[in-house]
Amino acid sequence: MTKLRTGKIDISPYLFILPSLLIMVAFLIFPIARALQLSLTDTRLLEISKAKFNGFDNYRAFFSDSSFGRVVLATLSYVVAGVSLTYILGLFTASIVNKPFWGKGFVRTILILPWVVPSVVLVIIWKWMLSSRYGVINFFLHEIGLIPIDFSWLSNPRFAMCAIILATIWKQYPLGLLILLAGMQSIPKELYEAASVDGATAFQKFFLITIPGLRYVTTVLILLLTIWHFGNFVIIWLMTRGGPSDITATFTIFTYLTTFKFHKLGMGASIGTVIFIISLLFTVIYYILFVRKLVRV
Amino acid sequence: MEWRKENEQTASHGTREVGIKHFFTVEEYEMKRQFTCILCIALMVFTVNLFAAGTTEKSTEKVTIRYPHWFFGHGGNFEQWINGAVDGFEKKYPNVHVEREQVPYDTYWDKLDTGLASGNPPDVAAFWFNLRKYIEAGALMPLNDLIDMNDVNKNFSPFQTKSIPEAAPDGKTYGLAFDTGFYLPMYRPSVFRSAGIAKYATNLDEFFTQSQKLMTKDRYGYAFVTQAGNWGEQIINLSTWTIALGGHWGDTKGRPTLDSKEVIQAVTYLKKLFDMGAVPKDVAHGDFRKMFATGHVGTLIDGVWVYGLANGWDPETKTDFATAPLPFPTQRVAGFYECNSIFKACKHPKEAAALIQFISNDEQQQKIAEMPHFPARTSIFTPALKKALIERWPWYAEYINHAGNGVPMSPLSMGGEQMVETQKIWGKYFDKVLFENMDPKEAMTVAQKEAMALVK
Repeated sequence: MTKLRTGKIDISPYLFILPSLLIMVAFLIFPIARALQLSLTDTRLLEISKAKFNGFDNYRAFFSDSSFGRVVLATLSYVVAGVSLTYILGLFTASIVNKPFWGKGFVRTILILPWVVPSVVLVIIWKWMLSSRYGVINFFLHEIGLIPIDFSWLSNPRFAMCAIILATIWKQYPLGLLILLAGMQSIPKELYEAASVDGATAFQKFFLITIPGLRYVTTVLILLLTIWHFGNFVIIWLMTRGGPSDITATFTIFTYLTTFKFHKLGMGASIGTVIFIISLLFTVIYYILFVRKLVRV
Repeated sequence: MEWRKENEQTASHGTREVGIKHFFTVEEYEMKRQFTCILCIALMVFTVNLFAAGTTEKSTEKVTIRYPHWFFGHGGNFEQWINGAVDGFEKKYPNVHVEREQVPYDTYWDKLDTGLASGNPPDVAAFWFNLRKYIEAGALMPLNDLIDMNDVNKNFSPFQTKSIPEAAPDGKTYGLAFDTGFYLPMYRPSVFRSAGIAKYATNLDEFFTQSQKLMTKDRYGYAFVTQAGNWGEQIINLSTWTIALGGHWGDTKGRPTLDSKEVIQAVTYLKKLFDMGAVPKDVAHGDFRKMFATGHVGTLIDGVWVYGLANGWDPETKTDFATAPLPFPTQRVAGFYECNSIFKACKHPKEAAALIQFISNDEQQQKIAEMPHFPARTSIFTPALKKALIERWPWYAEYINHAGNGVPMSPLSMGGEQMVETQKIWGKYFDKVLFENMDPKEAMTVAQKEAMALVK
């Protein structure tokens, strides 16, 4: 009989982590496995019991769908533009707030506020601001002669994604601000003092001290932002529902439409699996290219 | 040390208690063991009670019917009517309790679908042209043996007597309609007077001229859904125009006809209105109905419920509201039904059938007409009631005229899931016409090809 303390096998550590393992299996491993299983069947949402195995037919149907190209382009443009602009704005605001000035605490609080606004409220605010009939953004841009007064952002094929990215950046940049600010505050002040003594300009200090000093937090932040952008559904759905004509339909929008509007649960699961594999591949490649180097250093 | 030595000697027996005794004194160990036992017993009792709660209905308790509807929580006349109807039903059948589930319209179908998929559907639910999808999924029970079909066939709208059986592959009746709707032109006479328009347009050329005359800095001539990606609502406007032009977007064999002359004409005319600037951009039904009520849209082609909504936004619409015949080559009016159906999983079908019949009885249907809305039981339109309604609301006459000849706005023979995907395809290519200036004929030809790929 196995002994707890004496003997060769000590099972007490496993008993302690068993509850967490059970939760992970129930809420992570099992759903992923079930989704993989569903993706290989012709399951319909309202007739789950009548599902039949159909191999990779769902994947073939997804890759040959007429909207596939638009979905990939929409996802890539949303993720790349969203992540990079969110990072840049987060870096800019963190640089401002990192300096001492009167009212810094108040300014920091105001800058973080967008993050606490629920996504639904955020979309309502941005739709009001971008409205072609009474939007304040249209009013100002029209006053400076850039756009016609009734310019419609959300139905314009070239600007619909821009509008979504704007709203997303506004929501997410505080995350960048907080993480980068914490990173900046961990950079030793002596480095800046030494640089000043050597006659470095502010520009040089920023690019030669601040940016390299932020590399650890940058790798984490980029990874988090990418995963978040990849999986974002609420903002895109509420702003454009993937329109006009699927131009803003990212993978998540396509998954939702396929599963809950067209009831093709099997095909929806296959799209979800593709998203999962892409996210996993990205994380692994990112780790190999960026994180592992930093850990070794 | 003595205690430890004693325990080491007994360690060779290999019992678990010996291992634990290395950390605690015997008294502490006994106390902890007793506490653990009591805790486990308490947890077990709690868990058993938790799972046992509500598993069976006692014979002395009421029967409960779960009934989600978007009217609950809708506000205004709709909520008042449905709550009154359910109150009346519970008073008549005191052994039946109706669990009213308030679900907004936008999320109604998602909630229904996920409930059904998870094996937890309600007992009764409302449907419209998506009825076929649920019949094909085997989720609903036929009502032919549960409701009074003689009453239904004699007293209800053709939407009930023809459209609902046509939605079922076996021709049975899977829903009992509680209201119907028709899309007709409506306008505010004061707005027309201010634009110098004496009479509503009688053909399409006049309609375009009228729309232009109505346009001012603060007002649009007409409105339809121009919100990108909102194909679920766009289908209503597209169907209304296609049907009025004499066609349909699906044939009697369930195949799409997106490249038909009438569909292409409908898309072309709507694009013309859009390019003229006669319609507001980025609007859905909720937006332009309010704009109409407040005088910012000159005319709509919409349903009778707009009157009640408009009153809430501008009380002057109570007397400043009119309807007109369609300014199209035909007077084919697009229409729909909303019906209550019973899920197969319902444990009390007789009580559920009593509920849906009560909601569609003479008294409740007359209350619907007096909302004003449009009932499914057309036999209530006695000459006296017609006279009373038209005296109160002269515009209502146009709706009564079409009570018996509305055209279902969705092709009834089209498979339930195929219908939704076809609507999405139509909406996608309509967006391309509106926002990317794709040629309407080319767009609808490509849309038809994509939609035909769905036909089995």
